[in-house]
Amino acid sequence: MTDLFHSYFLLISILLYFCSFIVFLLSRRREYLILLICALITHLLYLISSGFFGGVFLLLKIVENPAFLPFTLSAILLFLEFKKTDEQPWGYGIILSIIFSSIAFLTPQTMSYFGPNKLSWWAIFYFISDFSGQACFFIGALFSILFLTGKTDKEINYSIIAYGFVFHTIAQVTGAVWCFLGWAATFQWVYVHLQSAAIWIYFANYLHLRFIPSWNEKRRAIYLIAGALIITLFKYL
Amino acid sequence: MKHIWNFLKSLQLTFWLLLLITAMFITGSLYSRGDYGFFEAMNNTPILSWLTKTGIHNLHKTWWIMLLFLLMALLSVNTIACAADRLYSIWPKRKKISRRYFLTLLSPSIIHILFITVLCGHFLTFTVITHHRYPVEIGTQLTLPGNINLRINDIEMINYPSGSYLKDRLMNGKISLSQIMPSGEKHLFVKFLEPVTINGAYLHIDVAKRMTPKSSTTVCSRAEVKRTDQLMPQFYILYTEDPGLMFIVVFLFIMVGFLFWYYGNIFLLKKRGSE
Repeated sequence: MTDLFHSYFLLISILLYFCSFIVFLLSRRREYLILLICALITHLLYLISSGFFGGVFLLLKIVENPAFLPFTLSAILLFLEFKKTDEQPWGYGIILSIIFSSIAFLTPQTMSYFGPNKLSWWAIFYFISDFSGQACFFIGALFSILFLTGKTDKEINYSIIAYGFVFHTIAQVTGAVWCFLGWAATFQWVYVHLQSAAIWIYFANYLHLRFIPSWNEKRRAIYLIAGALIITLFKYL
Repeated sequence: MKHIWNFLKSLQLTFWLLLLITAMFITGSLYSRGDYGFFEAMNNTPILSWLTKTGIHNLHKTWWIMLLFLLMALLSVNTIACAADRLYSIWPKRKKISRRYFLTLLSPSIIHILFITVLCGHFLTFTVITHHRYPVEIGTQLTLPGNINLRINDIEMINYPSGSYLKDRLMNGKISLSQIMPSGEKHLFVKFLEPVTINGAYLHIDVAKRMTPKSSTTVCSRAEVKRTDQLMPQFYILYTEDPGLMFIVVFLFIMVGFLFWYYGNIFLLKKRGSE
């Protein structure tokens, strides 16, 4: 019953994201930003309440929650709205928040992250940096689609993917330390680690593409979309 | 000779190597999903002995590992060549530009060299790691490699608070042990996520259900381990000597620091340039 009550916060935030997207399409910037902030606050309330789990509060439960990705996405979009105002129509990014929040809403709760070797600050840092990296890569892919379809005339800024890569590298470091403390190895030959390494190498390759003349804006955009598809396949399907 | 050098330092080669390595990791992840136990046995095992004992007889499942190592070796050569070439072209500029700008230009080469060092650390771990897993009970004695004698004094299990959904599940555990030496006894405590070091080796704590399908396999999620009055889990001490660990962790941290510094500076310099 309590979990059902918690999930209402997420449902409300999905509705608010949807409203802010509609208002964005109507070009009412001020109202769109207010609605986005309201959605983020409701989303945060959901995340905090989800940390209370049957009598105990677990920070890990907040950051490993599938709803943490859309929260990070929305927070980055809001940051970009204030920091890089005219660069891209950032409001389109809310589509991602709606999709991933809906996936999180439909995902059943799990207890798999509460074993004794998972209750570590390193795990918390890992999830925060991993989701932040993923959020940057998804934003990059979405604006690449918009660029290829002519909805925007500029390629996604290289710095967003570069910071996504830095976040993902932090996830590799914090993940390695957490893994050693918990399992006595910094890398294991299991699919989770292999997938993570694949994503890291793939986006490291992207950072080199702008130095290769044959890789123009369109080809780089396709590469980013393919990257987002790989992450989706690994993490969400 | 110049053709070979140009080939080795080319970004086209970097691109294809990175793409192939990505493909190998994806392939590996698919195989690992299909046969988790088979690949999990590789963890904490010297890779050469695993490949000669098990891998070679299962080439249909392990071919990508050999290819991955070959591609990583080629990438290392390519990265070193790229970094050397870049250093060669930047070095003469050091007195003409500001120190900060020079260091910013130098950072990618440093990051690449740090990446190679981390790869070497992993290679060292994969080739010479020593790892053992000992089931433990209160009062038993263990002899670890290097003639380290231990006595298990107590095993304490800490569950989640009663009244919570997780009340039957382990939140932590503590093994108190004594290292028996000719000069006397030294008392140690090992907890989850808090390993101790003895003679350069790490001692970790692990736990599994009493009845696991095979004695050699571990469970993926320790969250499934329950402790009730009827159900007592099996505790283990893990002994690990990993000479690659410090290379991996220390140089990864330095690499992240350089990445932050580089991107922070490069975007700032670009912004100033455009203004």
